Amino acid sequence: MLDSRKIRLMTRLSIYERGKGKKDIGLSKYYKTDYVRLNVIKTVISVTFAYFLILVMVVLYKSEYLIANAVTLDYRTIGMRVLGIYVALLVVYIIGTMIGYNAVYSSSRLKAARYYRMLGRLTQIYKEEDEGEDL
Amino acid sequence: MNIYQIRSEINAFYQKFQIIINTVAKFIVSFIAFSLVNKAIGYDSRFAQFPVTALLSLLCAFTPSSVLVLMIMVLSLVHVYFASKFLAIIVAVIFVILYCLFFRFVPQYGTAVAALPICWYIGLPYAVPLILGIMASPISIFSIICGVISYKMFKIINIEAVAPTESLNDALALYIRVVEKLVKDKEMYALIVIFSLVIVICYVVRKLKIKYAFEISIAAGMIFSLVGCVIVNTKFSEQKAVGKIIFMNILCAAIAFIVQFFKRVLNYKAVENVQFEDDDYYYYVKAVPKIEPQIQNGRENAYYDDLEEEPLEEYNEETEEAEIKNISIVERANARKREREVYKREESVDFTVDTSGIDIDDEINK
Repeated sequence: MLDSRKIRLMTRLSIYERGKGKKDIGLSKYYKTDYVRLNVIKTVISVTFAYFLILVMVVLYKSEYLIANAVTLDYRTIGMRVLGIYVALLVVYIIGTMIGYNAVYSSSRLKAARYYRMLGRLTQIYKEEDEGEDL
Repeated sequence: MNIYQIRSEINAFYQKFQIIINTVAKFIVSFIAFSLVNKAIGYDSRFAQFPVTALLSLLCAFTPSSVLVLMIMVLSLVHVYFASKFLAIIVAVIFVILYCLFFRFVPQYGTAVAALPICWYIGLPYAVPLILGIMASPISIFSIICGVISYKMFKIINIEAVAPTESLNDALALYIRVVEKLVKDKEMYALIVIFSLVIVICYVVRKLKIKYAFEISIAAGMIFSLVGCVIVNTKFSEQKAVGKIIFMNILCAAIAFIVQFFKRVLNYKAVENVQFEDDDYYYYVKAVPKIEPQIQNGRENAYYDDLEEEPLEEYNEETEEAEIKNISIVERANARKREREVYKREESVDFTVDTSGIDIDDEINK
């Protein structure tokens, strides 16, 4: 005997799992701090790599000047400036990443919680069916 | 027959022939995109030929939209490589920098990154920030940054590609010229700021709980874009085209309005074919969404069909965590009684699976 409530519920759950739920259910396997930290690490790596490429481009651009003044340049000041810009860029990106991915996780968690609630209702239907069979 | 019913008819037609319409539309869009790339920087005549363009478009018609973005990038790089290997290296490095700093946070807006240079080439760049403002979130600003820089870069390459790069000195001189032109382009920075502000203004205005919020947001975005672009053009650009900017901004606002009006079609939940099983049966279910305009007082109801948000209630982490942990234990008699009452209400309704623009959370909120 087909149960229309159960089929309706399972259909909605299946549609959700195939669509938006893929990302939400995947995210629900992480703790919030772990998810944010993972994305912060990815951001640090990508920003460091991009900054290195930008440095290479700047050095190439200023190569004539650098070669001509190689002996007289104040490397300490240049190094401090390069490091300072890198740290400032990293801080901005880390703060932005933490805020952004916190919001993404919270929003995704809410949708996943609703999904699990629907799953709980399905479990309840199964329990009622089992109780009915026992009787 | 009013305009909302016409839209419903279009929606129903789209629902019936969805797969064919999507495939043909993707083929046409891909063909136009590749043709424009070939026209702008088509240095390699082998890849600019019709059979190659048609083949690439056919590939993109049957694959996700991210493949189109990737193919546009690859095609651009191939053309530039044919013109100058050194320039191709510069372009590739700039692409990597843009990806690491901006694009990796907004992969879902790859289409906007590819669309901006293409729309700019046909004179409609103002449409992209307007459409992003009414359909996406402010994070899409990153895609605008990537799009503007890509367009300016290819514009410079168009001019510099003919320069010789036989010796190292020539290559270095070419590199310095390209980087200088890109970094010292004040018009580029000004346009990035203006387009970003257009997205923010459109987003803020459309979130207001007022009548005609979307229409007002498009108007506000258009006015800001118009004024900003005219100022930038008079101050920084060599070619003064104030009249053209004004006309194009109005045209782009009209395009944005049409896109917003048909957003329900674009954001449309397709027919879903799902299969699952339980202990007794295998189920093969076809869920067909209902399409009915919700018209009240001659005006469509407020509709939170935003691509980026749904009407979510306040999220309390502790409550939700407790709920998820206890979901399999259901021991509270009140919870069981409440759910039994909900199930009784569901039993009295004819068996239809209503997925018309209402998400699964709608059942919880009843």
